Amino acid sequence: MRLTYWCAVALFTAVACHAAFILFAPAYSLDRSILRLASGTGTNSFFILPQEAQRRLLPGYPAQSVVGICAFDVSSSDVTLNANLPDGFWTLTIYSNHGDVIYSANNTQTGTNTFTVALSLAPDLLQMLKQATEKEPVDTDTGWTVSSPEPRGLVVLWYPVVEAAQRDSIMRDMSRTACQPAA
Amino acid sequence: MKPVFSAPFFILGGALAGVASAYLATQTLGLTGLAGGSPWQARNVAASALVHPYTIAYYLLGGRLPPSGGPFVEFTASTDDSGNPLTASCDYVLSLQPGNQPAWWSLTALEEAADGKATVMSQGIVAEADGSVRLSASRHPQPGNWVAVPRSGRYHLLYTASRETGASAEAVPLFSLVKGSC
Repeated sequence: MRLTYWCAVALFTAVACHAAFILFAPAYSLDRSILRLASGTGTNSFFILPQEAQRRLLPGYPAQSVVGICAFDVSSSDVTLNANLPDGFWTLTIYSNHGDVIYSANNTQTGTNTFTVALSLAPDLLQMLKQATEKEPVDTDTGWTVSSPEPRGLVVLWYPVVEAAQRDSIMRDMSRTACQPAA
Repeated sequence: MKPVFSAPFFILGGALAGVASAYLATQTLGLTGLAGGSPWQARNVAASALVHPYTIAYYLLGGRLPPSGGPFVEFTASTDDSGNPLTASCDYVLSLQPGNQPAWWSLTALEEAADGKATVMSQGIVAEADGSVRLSASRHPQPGNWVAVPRSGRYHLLYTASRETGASAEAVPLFSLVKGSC
């Protein structure tokens, strides 16, 4: 009986640790990666990823690609991404800090290389109930809006480069992209 | 004398078993084999999939971002067409048949490659006269299209390809992987 009891405790502990590992370890790993990447620039700031970091984070993308990221934090204010991309194929992917893709687009879908994305924190249940009883907010022309279920996440802009000689000019163009707290 | 199988043993054992089973699940769950006999496997990253937390954990724990889905799909291979593990001591020939090829693809070794082109993509390669694509996977530079692999040990190849809107992963043409000289 005593052995059965302790086996049940072991089983319960195994299940709890299994669930905790899956729920928390990946997000912690991504959080640490984001903090390391953004250590020089901080959050809510767009920068071009060094090629070594790009290879670790996105190994399927060729090394000479240009990847720009913004580690956003919408916990205290909305964040605006003003993208400025050169002509050609590119992709935009927005991840939550749990690694879920919450938004993705490419040049064909957007039809433009210059656009604005407004990032905000998705309202919780209480806020949604409160909003339901309030007047409709006035719409502002801010381009696309993306509500993130988590306060932190990552915006990734990828531009594949065929000719290595083009990389510098593409980096200069993409560097004009801005990611900053909304005014 | 305190019995060996005391409470801390069961609790610690349970915790270790839980973490180990979780890690093992991230490496194995969500993997789907493709065309009969193909060594390429895809991971189901659909948010609606039951194994979604495990597949996402696989990427994040490996320091990678999950594929964004949409127009791109990722495949990995750890064996050749005959089922033998990919090893740095052997050279491999990858072939893609002419005709129905992805509009864009890239090929890389997931592990740290030897000096050279660790990732090749469709725009940077030279096709054969019949339109097919052949490239070598080797730790030593090879004539023609070549993707560098690690200097030693086993490795995985990562194949990222574009797909038609609404097409499944099974519809994406795959490279054949044939072992050459060792």
